[in-house]
Amino acid sequence: MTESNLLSIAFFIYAASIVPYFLLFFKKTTRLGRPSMLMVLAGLVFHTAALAVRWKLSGHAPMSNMYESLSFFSWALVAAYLIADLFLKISRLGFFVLLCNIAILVYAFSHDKTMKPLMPALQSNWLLLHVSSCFLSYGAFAISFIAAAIYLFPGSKQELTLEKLDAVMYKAILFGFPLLTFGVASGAIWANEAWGRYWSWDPKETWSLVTWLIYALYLHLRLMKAWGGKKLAWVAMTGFLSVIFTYIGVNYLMAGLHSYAR
Amino acid sequence: MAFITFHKNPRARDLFNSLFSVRFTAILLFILILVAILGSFIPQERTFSEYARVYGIRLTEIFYRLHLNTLFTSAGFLLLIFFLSVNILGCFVKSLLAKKRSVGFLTIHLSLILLLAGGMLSAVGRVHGEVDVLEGQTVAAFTSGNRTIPLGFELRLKDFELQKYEGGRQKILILVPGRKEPLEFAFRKKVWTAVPGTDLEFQVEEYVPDFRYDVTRKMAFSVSNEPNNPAILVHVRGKDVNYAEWVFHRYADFHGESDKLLSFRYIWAQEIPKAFISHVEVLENGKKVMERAIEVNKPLSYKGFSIYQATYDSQEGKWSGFDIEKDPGTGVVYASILLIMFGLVQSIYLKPFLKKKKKPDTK
Repeated sequence: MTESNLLSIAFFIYAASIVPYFLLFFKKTTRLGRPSMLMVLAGLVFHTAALAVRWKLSGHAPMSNMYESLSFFSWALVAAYLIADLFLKISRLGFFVLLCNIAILVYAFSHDKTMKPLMPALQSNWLLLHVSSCFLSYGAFAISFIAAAIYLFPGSKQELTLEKLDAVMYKAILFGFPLLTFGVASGAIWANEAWGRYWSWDPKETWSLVTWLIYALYLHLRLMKAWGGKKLAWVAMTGFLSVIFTYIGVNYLMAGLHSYAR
Repeated sequence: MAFITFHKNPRARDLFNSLFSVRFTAILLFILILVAILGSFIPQERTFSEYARVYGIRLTEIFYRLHLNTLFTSAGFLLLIFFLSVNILGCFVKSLLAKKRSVGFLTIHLSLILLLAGGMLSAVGRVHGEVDVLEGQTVAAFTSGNRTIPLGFELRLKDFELQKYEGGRQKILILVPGRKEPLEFAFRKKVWTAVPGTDLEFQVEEYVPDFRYDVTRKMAFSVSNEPNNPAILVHVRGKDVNYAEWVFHRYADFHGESDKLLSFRYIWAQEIPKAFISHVEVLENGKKVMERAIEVNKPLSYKGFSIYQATYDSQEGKWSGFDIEKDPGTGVVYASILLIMFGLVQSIYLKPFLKKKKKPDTK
């Protein structure tokens, strides 16, 4: 089966699983938790296969252009959600996670998906380590963003207590922070190997640092200053907006060393 | 004695407590975030005219007055980093003395101090230069700022090689009178190639990605580097024949019914570079001590200098450009990266896991 077919199947499974997750969130039924999770897991399996096929055909990790990175971001978001659900039991957030995921994939499909050979600057083992750790952290931060949004804009969330949302926000950030740190650090090492400079204040680097600083601030405010509630949820929201700007905004608004990411 | 006096002075104590407080850390982080955002929106270290063109003279003057054009090397920014270093160091020492923090916490904050120290060391001690070397030429020194730095060895460029991916190859098709199928040739610049079945030969003299013709100067030129209108100037020669004509990828029948002997067709294709390889020799006292290939992501390190593939002669492929670096801060920064990852993994991933594992025993 082709990468395109596998990804389409994954897309339809993700889209279909929105229905049980909708019921789970709005109808407050508990019976749908496990089947919904299994559906998403099935989608993830097809998505993983799609990434693997593309990797095999192109001969490099599928992370070298916008289409590939968006597909991987979508994969990382679903993987982060399933891990979080396993430990924190957050199936009621699944509806929003899948909506975000569908939006990411639709955005991915709007990009050129032609497989192109890797340009010399990207021919490094650091590509896999740097990009995958960054996107896994983005997946975790997306979960914290969804929890923060529900925390700040209350709707039907009787089953999701503020304490629970606060814990999800915190634990997702805690999980993602070392990954983002590794992502930024591995990027610095790679930059030193490719260009002889581990830090150039390139816009992408600077915004990665901004994101890292916002989450570092979040952790300091929560752990050392005992902040909580809405104030901290706003910090978590800001952190993810910075993630999105780092990932997409910088590519289109600022020229720099990462211009191949478009 | 001084320490005791210091502690007895309430003002000094308050200053000490503020300087080494988490509150101050949060304030500094917040300022750093704002400064970094500002620095990302204002392109750094450009010329006055470049700023003036984008922002106008008035804003440009403000940028220069407030050092916003060199924000990350300005005294204000260095002061911010200095306060952050002092704050982290103070918090680290306080926690160490109070014995109230875990190994992970201490390692993370120690690594941040190391990171900042490494950054400072780089800012002060890093030397950097760019050299362009012709094939067969040797370089023994480079310029960093106003200084000439001797390498302590000689670097000779034996050969520069530009490898391209197959599949994206440009082609030239030639229809020869009397033949039904056109002849196919690979695109090569400045190489005379015989056309089989004729006494003619041709050579591609010039390539322009975005062809325009200046009627007044009677000259072809490229408006941009984007391949919007790729064209080649083909020179044909033979017995009693000598002419040149522009052949376009997009407008195959541009010349219409031509009286020329050969009919050219140019098939443009995106040329994707696979590797930029500089084959070099390292010489000491005239003797070869090493032979290596320098590529992107594969620099040459020798006697404390790292030499990177930076640029190349895109027209003729006869020279290669290198970045030469010597940075005493890199090792310290790498050590800090190792430490911070150890600290984060220990305190965030391992510690809670080990705690959970221990719980049944304590019961």
